[in-house]
Parts: sequence; C-alpha cells; structure tokens
Amino acid sequence: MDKRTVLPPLCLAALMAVLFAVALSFRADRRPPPGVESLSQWQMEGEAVSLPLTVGSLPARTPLVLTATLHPKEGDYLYVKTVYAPLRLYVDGVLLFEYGQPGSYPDFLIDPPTKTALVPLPDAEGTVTLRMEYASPAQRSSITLHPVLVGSSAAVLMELIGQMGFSLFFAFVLVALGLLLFLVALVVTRFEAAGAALFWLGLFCVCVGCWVLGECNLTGVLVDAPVILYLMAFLGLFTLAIPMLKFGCMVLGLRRDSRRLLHGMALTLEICTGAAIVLQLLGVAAFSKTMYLFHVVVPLSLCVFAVVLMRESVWDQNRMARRFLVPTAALAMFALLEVGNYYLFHLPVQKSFFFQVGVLVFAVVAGVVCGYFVRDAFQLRAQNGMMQRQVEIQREQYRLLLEAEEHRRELRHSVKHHLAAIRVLLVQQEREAALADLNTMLDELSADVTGRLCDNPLVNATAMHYQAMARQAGAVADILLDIPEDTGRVPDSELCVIVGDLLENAVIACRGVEKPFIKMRSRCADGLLTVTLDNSYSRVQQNADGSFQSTREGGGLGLRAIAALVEKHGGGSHFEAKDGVFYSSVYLRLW
Amino acid sequence: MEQLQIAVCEDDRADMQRLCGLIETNGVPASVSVFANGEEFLTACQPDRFDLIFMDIYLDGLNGVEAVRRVREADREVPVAFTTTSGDFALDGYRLRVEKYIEKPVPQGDVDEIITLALHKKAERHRDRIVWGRREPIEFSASRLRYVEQKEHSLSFYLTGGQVWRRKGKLDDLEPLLAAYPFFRCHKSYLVNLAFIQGIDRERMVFQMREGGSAYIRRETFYRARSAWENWLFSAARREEDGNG
Repeated sequence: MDKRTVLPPLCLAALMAVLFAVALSFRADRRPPPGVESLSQWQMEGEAVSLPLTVGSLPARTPLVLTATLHPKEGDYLYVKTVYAPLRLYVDGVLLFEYGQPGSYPDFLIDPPTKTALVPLPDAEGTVTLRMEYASPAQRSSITLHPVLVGSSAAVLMELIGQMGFSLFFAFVLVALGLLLFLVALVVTRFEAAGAALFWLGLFCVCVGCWVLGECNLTGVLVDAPVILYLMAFLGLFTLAIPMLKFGCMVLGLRRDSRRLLHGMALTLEICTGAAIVLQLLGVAAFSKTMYLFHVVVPLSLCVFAVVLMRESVWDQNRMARRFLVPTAALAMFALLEVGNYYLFHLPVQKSFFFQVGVLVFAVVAGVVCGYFVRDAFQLRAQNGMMQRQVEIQREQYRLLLEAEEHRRELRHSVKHHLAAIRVLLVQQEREAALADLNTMLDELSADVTGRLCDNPLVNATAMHYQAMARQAGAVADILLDIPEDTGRVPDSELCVIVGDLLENAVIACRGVEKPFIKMRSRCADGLLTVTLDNSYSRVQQNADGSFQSTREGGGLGLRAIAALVEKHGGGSHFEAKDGVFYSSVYLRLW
Repeated sequence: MEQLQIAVCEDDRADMQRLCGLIETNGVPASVSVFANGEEFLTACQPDRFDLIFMDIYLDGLNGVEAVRRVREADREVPVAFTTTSGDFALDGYRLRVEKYIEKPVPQGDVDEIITLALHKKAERHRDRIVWGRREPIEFSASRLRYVEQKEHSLSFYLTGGQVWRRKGKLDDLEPLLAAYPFFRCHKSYLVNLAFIQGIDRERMVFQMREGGSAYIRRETFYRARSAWENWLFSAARREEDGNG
C-alpha cells in the first residue's frame, strides 16, 4: 500500500481520537449524576473546610481529623481516597474502614501507597456522623484531602467510569498492543534482526500502559493491590522513555552523534531508575519523592529526542526523522503540558490525560513506520540474497567459458597431432593404419559435445553448475530445460534463483542416499513455464501444516520463498514427498 | 489399413530423392507429399493432414525449426523427424518435441524406426477417435478437442484449427466417453481439455482456452479446477523427454 494513501486517514483517525478524548474528559467537569453525592463540606479542628484541600507544612504523621454529617440511604457506599497517608474511617464512632496502618504494607515503602476504595455504609436511620482520621505522609510535608463520594455502588462506579474509564480502557489497549508486538517481534526476529524494533515499540506501549493502569484510581477500586499498582505506576513512568529512545536509534537511521546522544539519554534514565529503586528498597526515599526527578528527566529526554529529530530532518533531510518529528514533538509538548498541569495550571482533566493523547498519536505513527521498516529490511535481505546468487552464477559461467576455451585448445592440438600422424602414414602408404587413426579422431570429435541444458544462458549456467555439483556428489543428474532466452516479464535472475534453489535443495537432499538421482524437466507453452524436479532424499521434516521443514543452513531461499516468488508471477507450486522421491513442481507466467 | 500420410520438406533434390527411396524401401503403404520450402509446406499442412513429417533444417526462406514451431502451434502430436548435417539443433528438437533427429546422409535404419513410431502413433490416434451423434455423426480425435459447451440440448465441440461442431446431446453423456483423456468438468455447461488451457482468470472465474474462447468455472469447484489444471501442467512437464527420443 502506498503510504501517501495510508497516512492521511491514520492521522485523521488520531485526530478523531483526540477529539473524543477531549469530549470525554469534559464529562469530569460536570456535576455528579443524580444518585451520587460529592461530600465536600467537612469540619476540621472546629473550622469548616471544603475538599479537595491541600494542607502544607506538616511534620511526618501529623494527625488530621475531619468530620461531616450525611443522610445515607439504604445500601449506600462511600468512595474514599487517600494519598500516601494512613486513614481510619468511623461512622457514629464505630470503625468502618482502616488503611495504611504500620505493618499493613512493606516497610521500605515508607508511606502507604495511594488507595481508593468503595466502602459499604451500615444501615442507619436519619443522620450519621462521619469521622476520618488521617496521618500526614512521611515523605511529603503536605497532604491532599479528597472529597468523598456517596451513593449506590452502581452509581458511584458509573461516576468513576465517566471520569476515568477512558484512561483505563486506554491502558488496557496499550498493554494488549504491547504484548501483541512482543509476540510479533518474537516471530519476526527469528527471520530478521530488524524485528527488534517491534520489541522496543511494544515495550514502550507496555510501560505507558502500566503507568496509566497504576495511576488510574478506578483500577484501585476494581483491584485491591495498592502496592503493585504503586510500583507499576512509578516504574512505568520512570522507564517509558527508554524503549522509545532505543526504538528511535534503531529505526530512524540517525547520525552517529545523534545516536550517542540518545543512547546517553537512555543510559541516564536507566541509572536514575536504578538509583530510585535502590533508594526505595533501602527505605531512604520513596518513588513518590524521586518522582520529581523524573518529572524533569523524562520530559527532557523527550525534548532532546524531538530536537534531535528536528535537526536530522532539517539539516540531514532524514525522511524517517521527518516522519517521526511531529508525533515526537507532540509527545514532548504533551509531557511538558502534563508536568505544567501537575504543578501550575490544575486544569480540570484527568491526570496524565495529555500525555495519553500524545502517546496515542505517537504509537499510531510509530506502528506504521515500524511496519515499513521491518518490510524494507526483509526486502533488502531478499535482494541481497538474489544479488549474491547472480554473482555466483556469473562466476560459474565465466569458469565454464574458460573451461570450454581450454578444451578447444586441447582438441585443436589433438587434431593437429592426428593429422600429422595420418600424413606420415599416407606418405608411407599405410592406408589401413591411416584410416584407423582417422576413425579415432572422428570418435574423439563426436564425443566432444559441449552440453547445453537450456537456451537461456543464465539459467543454463545455473543448471550446469548444479549438474556438475550433483555429479560430483555421485548423483545421476538428468536436467533438460525448455526455457527460452527471452523470459518476458520475469527477470532471468529470478528464474535462476528458482531453478538454482530447487536444484540446491535436491543436491542437499541427495546426501546419504544409496542411489541418488535428480531429474529436472520443464515445459514452456502459452506463456506459462512449468518446472518439475524429482529427486531422491534421505529424510525430510514435515511441519504440522504439511509444509516442509528447511534443512539448509543459510544460503538460498527455502521452499516457501520459491512458492512466494512463483506466486508473484501468477503461478503456483506443489511439493510432495513420496516413497523416497521428493517431487517439486512450480509454474509461473512469463508473458 | 489406411495409407501413412508422409510429408517430406527438402530443398536439395538429391537428398529428397534419397529419402523417398528409403521410404519406398521400407515398404509401408504410404502417400508421400514433397515440398521444396517451408512456406509451401505450411499452406498444405492442416491438423490431422499428415502422420509423419520429414523436415530439413536448412531451407531457403523459412527454416525448418520455424516451420515445425508453426505446426506445433496447431498440432502437438504429429511425429516430426529433422534431417540435417549439423548437431547444433538438438535443443530446438527437444523444445519442439521432435521425435527423431537424423543426420545426413539419412540411414535406412533411422527411417524405418521413425516410420514404425509414426504407425504406432497413427494407431493411437485412431484409438483416440470419438464418434458422436446418431444423425450426421461427427468423428474427431480426442486430443484435438479443446472444450465442449452445452446449451440446452445441444453441444458445441470446439476443436483445434478453429473447427466448431454443433450436435444434439448432453455433457453428462459425453463425459464418460472422454474419461481416458485429461478432461475436466469445470461447470455444468462446460467440459475442458486441460491440455488446452492457457490460463485461469480468477476475476471472471473462467479458464482461458488456447486458440480463443473461455470456459466458465463453477465457484465451488474453483480450487479443484485449478489444482486439476496445475497437476496436468506438472505431469506434462514431467513427461517431456529428451529431444532425440
């Protein structure tokens, strides 16, 4: 497919995704739907406060007590959220929910990870009093208190899905996409090292997916594993730029200094992440604190990436870089916007929303480019193989030419010798002896048939080469081909590859057979060329799908490639092993 | 038995007389037509007209190889013997499926051999005779029948050389008569000779036939039809034998 016809609709699709995402995110701004009440008016130390509220300058584990009254209906739930702070929730003085008390999470985490939960309210008549006892985080001097949602579990969940459903869906899609890319990369790299690009792209998707999944409060409600989500969120965020940089280095064909810069950036990120993990494990600094470093390093590396791409695409006219410039620049910009939103703007959108949109655009473009990259690598390799084969064929032809020349010289010499001998015999009147000598000479001449297996010189040279090889290996090689000099729209070189590969397979298969033979025939009629080859074999491995396992080590193409080549030329192929004979049959259209 | 129809294409008078003498010596009941050049021969040569052709390679104007190539376009079966002084044409002989390759001066043994082969082929062709129809029966060689189309109660027989015959009948009745030959029923109204298929058109779902025309393929049998044709192609290639037979 032509990329000019593919890229515009893809970009349009990405834009549409952005549009939908923006439209969805603004649902968060409207008032909660009926049935869900946002409890934001609370009493704290005798004063009325309105949540969300950030309280600063607090020493570690400063107790904060909030109270509020409400009129619950039967079967109502509370949605509570606490960020790095232990929490106890009382209803009318009875402990209803408890989280983050010492011993309930690994010590090296220092603060309990963020927790969101749906808590069922006990049945009660009339007004009840809610009391929340927070203890401020140890790793931060401030605490953010979030409003509590009240309503039936379905209504609260619907409200949460409205706010964060997109993120969750997005995360799942990314993780699934990443795993799929892993699988594809696993298969492709068996044939072509360039497939590793797919692996890096997949890793990028998985990292972003893990980060969003860990960050999303909805996940916390659905899955009760705050520690795992905490680790996923931070490690995903810390590492997401690494595979992206590696992917860029591999695919974009950048200048050496650019590649070094990006590799250096990736190494920096790797060291920072390693250090953060060590600090967390030692209980010195939690991810929630080291995160601030990554709020600088990650956008910085994305910006560096974008600048490198800009330089490459403007100065070096690197087409790949140009293709990636817009999504990467967009991603860097979204990352900056994200950080800005975190510290400064506080726009009413879900956290990491901007970055998600950027990732989406990037992943789509990267996927398309990556596909082209891998395909080009495959094609290049096939071309190289074909060129290699052509060089071999030409060398062989040259050798045959030299051999023929040598043979002619010998023959001339021999004829001269005979004629001289006959002259002597005739002078001596020895008619019988002269006649005998003349007959010997004629026999020698008629025995000298320089074999020609086919009209097409290139295919002839190929066939002669393998015939000689087969005979050397002790096989009876009977090759007779009807292939014209003019092969229409199929290049000679491709026919050589087909004939050569079939014969090569046959010669290899003949090894270790008692009476090896190779019989190749062809027929050219109505513009169709049919080539058949029957040979003895010692063993073939057959795959489960009926195709044949290749026994060759490197070198030419396998049966599958031959099949693909003839199909490209409007033909087909059939391979069959029966009673010790391997039957290969192919046909293709020459004109 | 009918006379063997032999064509001798030879521009050298002495060689021609020698060859005719050798044929006479063989004693086979034969009618020999003599041509001094390729053009003259091609005008006279119709499918089924000759049972054996002796062709000199070096002719004035159209050479022997080219003349045989033209003959082969319409008739793949008729035995041909090349007569020449040089051995360089062995490959052309193979490609044109020439039965015999005789070096001049032509020896009696070679002539006898090729006549025996021609008689054998003639007998074979005679066995290939298919007779169809009660009123005005038609008689043709199965190897010349390209395809048959059925329209209501009549059959159209498309043969080589542009011959078309229409007779009453049904493909269901004809099919068993042709069972020994490479025919394939690709459609309820079409029976094709696999040897005359030029190509397959997937879009239009037809076999394109050599010498024109096409035969429809039933959608459900497409893969079976294609593989029948492919198998025929492969086995035809395998049957190709060395030129000097």
